[in-house]
Amino acid sequence: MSSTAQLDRQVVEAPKRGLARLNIQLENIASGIVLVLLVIVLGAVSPAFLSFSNFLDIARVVAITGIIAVGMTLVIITGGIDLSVGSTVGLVGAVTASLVAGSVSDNALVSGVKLPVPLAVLVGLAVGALIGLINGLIITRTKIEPFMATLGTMIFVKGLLYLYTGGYPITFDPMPHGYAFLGQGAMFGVPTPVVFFAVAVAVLWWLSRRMSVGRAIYAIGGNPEAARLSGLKVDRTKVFVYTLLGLLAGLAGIILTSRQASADTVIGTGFELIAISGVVIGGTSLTGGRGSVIGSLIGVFIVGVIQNALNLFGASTQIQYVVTGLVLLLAISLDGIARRRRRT
Amino acid sequence: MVASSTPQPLLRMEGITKSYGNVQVLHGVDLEVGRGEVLGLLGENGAGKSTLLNVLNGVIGREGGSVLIDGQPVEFAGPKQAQEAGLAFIHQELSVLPYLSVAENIFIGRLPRRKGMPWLVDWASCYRRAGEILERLGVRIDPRTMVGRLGTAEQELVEIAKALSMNARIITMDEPTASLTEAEIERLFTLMRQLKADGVSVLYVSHRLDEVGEICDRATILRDGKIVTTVDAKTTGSHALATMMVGRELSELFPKTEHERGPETLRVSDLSTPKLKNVSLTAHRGEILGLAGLVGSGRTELARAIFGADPITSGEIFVEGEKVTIDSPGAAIRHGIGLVPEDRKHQGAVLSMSNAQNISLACMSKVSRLGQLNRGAERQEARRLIQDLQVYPPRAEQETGRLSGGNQQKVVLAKWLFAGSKILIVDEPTRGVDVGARAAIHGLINDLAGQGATIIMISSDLPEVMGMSDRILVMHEGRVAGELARKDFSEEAIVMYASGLEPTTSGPEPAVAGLEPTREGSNA
Amino acid sequence: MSTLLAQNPGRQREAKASRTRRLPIQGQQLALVVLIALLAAVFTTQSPEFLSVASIENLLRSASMFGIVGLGLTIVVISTGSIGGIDLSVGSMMALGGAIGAGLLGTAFGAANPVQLPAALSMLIALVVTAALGALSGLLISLLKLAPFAVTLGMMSVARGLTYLVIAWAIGSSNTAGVTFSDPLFDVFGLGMVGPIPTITVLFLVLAALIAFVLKATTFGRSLFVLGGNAENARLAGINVRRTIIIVFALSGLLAGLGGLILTGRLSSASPLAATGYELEVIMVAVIGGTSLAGGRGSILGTVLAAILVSEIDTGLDMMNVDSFYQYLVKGTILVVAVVLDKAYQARSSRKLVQQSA
Repeated sequence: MSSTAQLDRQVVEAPKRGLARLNIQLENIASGIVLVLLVIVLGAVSPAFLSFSNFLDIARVVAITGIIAVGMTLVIITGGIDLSVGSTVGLVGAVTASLVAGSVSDNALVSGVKLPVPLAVLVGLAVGALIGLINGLIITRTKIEPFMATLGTMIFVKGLLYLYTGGYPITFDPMPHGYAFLGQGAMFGVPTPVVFFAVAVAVLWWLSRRMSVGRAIYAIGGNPEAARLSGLKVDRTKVFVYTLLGLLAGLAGIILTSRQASADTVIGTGFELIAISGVVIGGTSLTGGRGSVIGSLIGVFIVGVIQNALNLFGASTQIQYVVTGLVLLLAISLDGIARRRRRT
Repeated sequence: MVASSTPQPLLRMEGITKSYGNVQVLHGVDLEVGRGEVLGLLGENGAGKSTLLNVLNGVIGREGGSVLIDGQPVEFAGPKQAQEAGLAFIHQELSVLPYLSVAENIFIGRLPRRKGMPWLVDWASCYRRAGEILERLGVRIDPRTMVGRLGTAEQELVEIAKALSMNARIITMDEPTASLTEAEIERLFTLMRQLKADGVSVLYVSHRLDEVGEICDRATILRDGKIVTTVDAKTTGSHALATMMVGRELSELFPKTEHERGPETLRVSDLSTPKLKNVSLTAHRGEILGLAGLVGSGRTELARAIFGADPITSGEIFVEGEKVTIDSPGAAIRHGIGLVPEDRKHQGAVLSMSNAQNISLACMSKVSRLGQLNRGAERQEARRLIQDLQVYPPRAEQETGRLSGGNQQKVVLAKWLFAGSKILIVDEPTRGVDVGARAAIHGLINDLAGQGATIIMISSDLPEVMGMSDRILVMHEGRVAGELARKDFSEEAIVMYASGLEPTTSGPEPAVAGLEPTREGSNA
Repeated sequence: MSTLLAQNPGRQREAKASRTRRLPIQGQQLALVVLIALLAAVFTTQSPEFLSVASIENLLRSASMFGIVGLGLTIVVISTGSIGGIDLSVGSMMALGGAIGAGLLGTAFGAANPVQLPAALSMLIALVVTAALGALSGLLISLLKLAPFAVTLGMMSVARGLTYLVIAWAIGSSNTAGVTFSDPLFDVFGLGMVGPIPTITVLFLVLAALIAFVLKATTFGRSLFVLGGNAENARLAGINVRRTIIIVFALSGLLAGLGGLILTGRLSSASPLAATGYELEVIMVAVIGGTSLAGGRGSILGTVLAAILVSEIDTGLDMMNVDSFYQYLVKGTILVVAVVLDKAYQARSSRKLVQQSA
């Protein structure tokens, strides 16, 4: 390529420097700054907030939706969305709980088969992954908008949950230790759900930033046709992220039933909103191609910290809905403003 | 300069300036259109035509200069105000709404209202008036028909009817003949002459220079955002117009480097898809094979079929003598084929990713092991290519979306260099690219061929395809209509083949740069 | 172009066919009518009381409630489909409308709030609030060019939270129990009849006719189709895009609020959990009715028929004591079929356009 050196040097364009670059970075760390500010302000107002046990508390609350949120991050980066995760949490929770020795239900349909805990968990995770796989296949084969397709599976899976449980809760008498460990146990003083969450964040971060499949995920969301014409397997990658999210939603369902020591038809309801809020607050753009797993980690913690603070200050739990919604609206508004600035 | 046909021109634009960001697109443009005049506006891609038309029609604002209609200065806050002042804009991309009726499309935003109840639509009057206008145009379309059921030519007539319904005095037509057949073009010209007779002025943009001579009174030539000159369209030949547009003698533009033509690298035999009929071709090491033809003649479809982007119904592809099965872009890449698509923004680069990430995209396996990316090696390779290709600014971590069009195109080319493509298909590589980058890209393509790559270059820009290629295949209606060796290159021969005719020695004035670069039906 | 038509007899035939096919009911609507009749036959054979007066009245009340909210959503999708227009907040807006309407009465059993407004006024305030929140969604969507589904998702939880707050304030404690009350005006929604027809059905049909008229006959109505077909076109045609988007989302909020008042009237109580998941039913009503999620195409008649169909399925399956699983399954399947049909229709039209432009 030595002879290209004689080519005219480009002088026509003088792209934005300095400030423009700074903007991008500001965008990426904005959620982190918000979280730090929140912690500082809340810590100043209420010393109880800064205690280690309170942090663990927040982490425990955040972990379950957080596991879903990091999976959702990858789906949203591909330009998709999955509204069915809440139903998946419920179904997987019920299926796993019913397979564990010691679970009881008034419904005849619920499995009489009892499995060892690890096997039951595997079955549950497989069910979650299967739902995700179906989502991915519907979206890639029929080209239905992901939001409509997963709205359909959301209803469908909820229906399966009703069918399976007959509307009766599944309880434990007693819960095996192995199962209790998943939601209620601790490893080296850290609650098990938090450990699961940390592992999920680490794995998905590595996958998205350090592996070629992650690069493909970003490329597909940024420009699906360019990705395809670069030889990337667009459909296969999409199916993979939905399946992964289904699996993670299943994991969240298992942890949740263990923590609550019961499974019923309402658990998981609305989780898709909390997860999506966390992802968007974390700076992942709903238009695809931009975002990060770490951002979503921060995003779900922002939601968690706000909820925790509201609790500490004795605010009614109801106001948390309003706050979550407002934070989501604020986050997507900031994303919109950032996109606007990029365009000009 | 030729004086305007009337003492007081209907439209006068003076000293129009406009820039996007730091790039000045219009540098004080002056333009006059007389009453009942058809003025051709000519210029290469990127000369500033679209910007000028958008300024005139109130789509975008201008920075300096004035627009006068009947000698009165006018200011448009938006397209609506421009319409009210008697301007109509028929876009290259038709903007009809398929689910609405013909009548409603004609009166979009200005539906007739009931007397006394101005919030109600007067449908009877709407259909009647639409019928009258269509009648005046000699068009037999029921105004109640849904526009989606009409053909493209009919949809274009609906646009013209819309302009007339607004009592437009100045109609801007941006490449109206791009997707029309000969008979339809003739019909359009008859219509334009009728408009002229009614005192309506037309600002006519086309790349078909023969058409300009046929329908326009005068032609104004725009180059690099400045007016070059205004000439009498009837007496100025196509070749002269083309030279004025380009600003240099064509032969000077493309210093052709001769390469040794090596052994055959690609052979396509009897390739068919819904858009292609038994296409066969061969290409060689070190050769630049040009693909010319009209819009929709199947050039882009051929490129996409060879690359595995669209399914083929029959035919065989051989790479370096071996029969290969290419059913996906991935398979094509494994066989050393690369494609620089025509629509850079939507198909070429992932604008939200960095240059390094775009460059490694088609061959991540080169810098990864077991799926793990080695980002250091990736950046290093990318930096080397960025330097070689003189991408500006020369940063691997720069987001590609923030580069200029020409530099984005270089990044896409770098992607295929990184992937080690031996057969590179480039589809309109310099469309929408500024002059400097254009020369750089041409140089790069020449270099690649010199290093032994096989290049297949699709271009609607005749001087470009003739200047660059060693051999040209001309396509017509999904077939290869003719093949020209470099010594036989002539604009006339290409145009004849492209129109489905055999070249003759004495023909009409050749249309230089006449294969207009418009949408190519690439999404088919 | 006469010469063109002469060259292309096929297209001419097609154009003629479109003229003759202009029946009062066509395509999808006709299919809906047939489906409604078929289902009615099936349900009647399975459970004869399906055709009883009480059952039909129940069906009509349910259809009217979903239908009224569905009208708003239909308008949203027609006019903003090209930018992914959807309103996911309608379920929460229904709950909020009901909560405000009931909460401000002060006549609720066990009510602790000092405010005692006449029912008409409290209803009016409920509608103003839901319309204002809808307008806020529209403002964010149009001003910042945000995805409607995301904005209305946020609004969904804001409205739900406000519902909790209003009810907590009204009953003076923050449990999830609802406000139970009795009010003659609200009873009109739950019990009122005009002759043999429930009052809210009359209200629904009047609103549907009014909206159909606005869509068909007014310049504003036509501008909605232009906007939904192509937002850039709308701007070029001089339509005030931002204002229009705000208006349609405000309208959706208003109609959802009205639907919520009806729901509250039917139940004689307002619960913070009311109307959970109803956004799905409402989206189903619009999509099954033939409104294209891509925008620019839709039908009020279709929405009316789809509201009846969806409620028919609910009522019929309930009567047959069908597991809720199958109810979900049936509805999910119908939704998917409707979306796939819409997708196929879009694909066909766009393929045609590509062929033409090539």
